[in-house]
This record gives sequence, structure tokens and C-alpha cells, in this order.
Amino acid sequence: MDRPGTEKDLAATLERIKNQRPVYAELVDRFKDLFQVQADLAQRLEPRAAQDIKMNPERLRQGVSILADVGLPGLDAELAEAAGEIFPVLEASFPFKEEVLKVSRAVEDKQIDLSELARGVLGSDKNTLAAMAERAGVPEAILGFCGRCVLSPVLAALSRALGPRLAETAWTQGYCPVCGSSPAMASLSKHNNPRNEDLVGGGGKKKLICSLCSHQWAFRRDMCPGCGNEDHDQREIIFEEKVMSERIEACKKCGSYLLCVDLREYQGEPVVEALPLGLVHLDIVAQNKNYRPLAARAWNVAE
Amino acid sequence: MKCDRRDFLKFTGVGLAGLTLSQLGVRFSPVEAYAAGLKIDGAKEVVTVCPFCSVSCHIIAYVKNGKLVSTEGDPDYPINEGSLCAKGAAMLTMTTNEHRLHQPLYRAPYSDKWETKSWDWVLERIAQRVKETRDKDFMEKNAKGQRVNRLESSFLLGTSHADNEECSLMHQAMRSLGIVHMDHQARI
Repeated sequence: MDRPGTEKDLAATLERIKNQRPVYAELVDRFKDLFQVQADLAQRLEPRAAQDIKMNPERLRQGVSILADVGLPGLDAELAEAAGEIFPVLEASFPFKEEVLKVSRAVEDKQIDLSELARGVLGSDKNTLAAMAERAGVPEAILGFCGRCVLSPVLAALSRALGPRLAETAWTQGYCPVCGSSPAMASLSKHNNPRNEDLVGGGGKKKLICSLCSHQWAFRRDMCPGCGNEDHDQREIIFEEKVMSERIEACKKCGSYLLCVDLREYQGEPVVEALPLGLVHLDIVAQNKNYRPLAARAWNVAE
Repeated sequence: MKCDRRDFLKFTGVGLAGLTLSQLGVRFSPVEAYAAGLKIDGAKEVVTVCPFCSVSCHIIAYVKNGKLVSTEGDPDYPINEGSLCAKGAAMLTMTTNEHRLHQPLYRAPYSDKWETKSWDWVLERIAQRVKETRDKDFMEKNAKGQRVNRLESSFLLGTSHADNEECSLMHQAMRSLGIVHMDHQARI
């Protein structure tokens, strides 16, 4: 897995988004502190549970992601540490301070178990989330948002720890090999140095970025990650005129889309996980064409 | 607790998907207005094979309304891994170069002008000259009296624009004339 963005890289990426399209200043400022604390946690946490996870290459070849087999390993300490740093940022950044406080108190009073919340988010277990939300006295959507914000950097740290072992396995699916979530976006790699000086180009390898744990994995250029469709007549690349480096890759067969950025057209090393914040205009274009995002995020859901 | 695999493959935005930008305190309308003002373009991404030589590098071609608009090396193909030689990288110009000829041009001996000719005229003329040359220089036997049936004063330079089947036909045609000197543009 690629190194998760450091705070400095992230700040530069977010600043670039604002400078490139000032219309995103409000959105970036709203998420800036949350992203930074998550990036810091993802870099700093070192989940001991990663050592206990036995990777089964055969299961991975069959398309079974790691946590689907082992469940959520013992991450209580990391979840608690993440919650301790993220809840105050959520209180300060978003207009539901009271609700976050209630969630925070419910965790302190042990009315909400963070591991249970994490499993509820990871498994999309609406019943569990609804029951916990009722106990905490907050809307289910806000509890889910809080839980996801806490779980995300912990799983990012876990996937970073698993990275070297994962790199040795074959994974060809369109969902994350670590947590099974859908990709938030795709990137095309920067130019590499061809082995022969007479050659030009290179790079352009596609990587998908997990919407939950930020793990990045290689994926085919000519296939829809949502349904495996490789019929070029059933796939569509949509972009702002003359800005093909930021594009929508849509599938007419399953009706999904994924945003993709071509890093060959980017200066420096942007934190790819943060780039969707500056591409909401493409989400709007895609959704106006009746495509749906592979992974719903707060900023690509209008209503 | 173990999560069921089916659960893992469900829509991943649970909780988060329930919150919208407005609930997060962000005004959606400025971005919406920005998106409305955009000029949108699109293309199909088609994996194809470079026509220039037998390495057959893969190329990703962007096609719009049936026309090639852009190309790049296919990074998933293990032979070229996204890179291309100078000719392959310029494949787009095969269809868009303004200097590309659309009809045969003929310049008569000692003339300084090109004349537009029909394909029929040109093909007839080429056939005539090939026959004249062959009739003049065809060699049935060599100096030792051995039968060789060859023509050494003509030469075929092949093109990377020809596919396998076309190359096969050209090769057989040249052999039938007795031509033995043949090479390929990719070696030059």
C-alpha cells in the first residue's frame, strides 16, 4: 500500500484544490481538520492486531477480502485513541456539536461500545446502528458518520501494516482486499522510466482507493470495478472539456461511476484520498446522467 | 463477531450516506452552479494493438463519434507496460495528420509538379513499370547455369501499416515475380 498522506502533503493538496477552484473553499475548510487528524492517526497508529492476521492467498484469489474472513480484530485501543482525537474535531467542524457530544458521552458511559459501532459500520448493519443511535439519543445518520470517521484511520493503519504482505498476493477485484468496501476513486500512476531510452510514455497504471480504509490496489484500466464489465461500448469516459485528467468513468451496464484522476497531469504528489473533495462538479455531472457513485460520500450526496 | 461476506459487499456508505452536504453545514448551490457552467466532453476507451511492428504493443485509444481523439500505451499489457516507441506514440497522426495524402499524386520524370491521379491510373502505371523491369531483368539461371528464377533489380520495402494478412499477400506477390530483396521499414 502507498504511504498514507502526511499532514503536510494533505495541507498542500487541500490548498491546491482551493486555489484551483475557489468554489470548493467552503467544503475544504469544513473537512480540513477532520482529514488532517485522520491522516495523522493513520500514520501514527500501529495496530498490534495486524500481526495476528493470517493472510490466506487462496481466499484472496477467490475474491474474499481479509476482514470478511477474520472479522474486526482486536482494535479497541486504536479505536479509543482515534475517537479521543476525532470527536473534538467533529464537534468543532460540523453543525451537530450536541449530537457528537452525546455520542462521545455514550462511549464514555459504555452505552456505546466502539468495537460494536465499528462492526456496525463495517458490516452496514442498520439494526445495530439504529439500536445504538437510540441509546445515545442521536440520529442514526450522525452516529454512522461518527463511527465511520473513527473507524477509517484505524483501518487505514491496519491496511498500512498489512501492506507488505498484501503486495505479494493476487487481488483482481473492484472492492478493497482489506475491508471489502467500494473504491472512492481511481488514480492513474505517474510516468515511470521506461527500460529502453527509445521508449516514451509509461505510467498510467490504475489504482483504486478504498472509500473506508484508503488502501490502494492495482486494477485493470478497461474494466468497470462495480460489475466487471469490459465492453468498451458499455463504458463511458466523461470529462470537462480539455480536462481529461479528471474524469468520470461510468458503466452503462451497472449504472455506476467512479471518478479517476491522472497523476501524470499533477505536479508533485497529491494525497489522492483528498482529491474527491475538489471534484464534486464531476459527481454532479455523472448523477445528472443518472449514474450512481460506487461509494456514497457526504460530499457526493446532494439531497 | 464475524461480518458476513455479503454484508461487506453492500453499499459502503452506511451512516455517511445518510448525511448530506447541507447537514454538514456546506452550501451545495455554488458547486452546483459551477458544474452547470461546464462544457462536458466524452470518449470511449478502447484497447487496441499498435499497427507498426510485430511487437504488437497495446494502446488505449480514446474514440469519440467513431474518430480517434487520443492514444496512450496500455499499462496493463506486460510487453510495453504503458510505454511506446516514437512511431507508436504518434499513432494518432495516422488519422489526423494534415500532411497525410488522400489521393495518389504523380510527378512525371523531370517534372517539378505533382499531379493528382486516379487510383486506376496509378495502379496501371505501377503494374506497367513492374512488368517492364521484370521483362528486362528477370534471371532464369545464374552464372553457374543453375535455375534461380529471380529478379534482382526490384526491391520491396514493407510497411508497419500493413497487417499480417496483407504482409502475407505482398510477400507471395513479390515471390511470384521473383523478387528476393525484401525488408521492413521497422528496421530502418
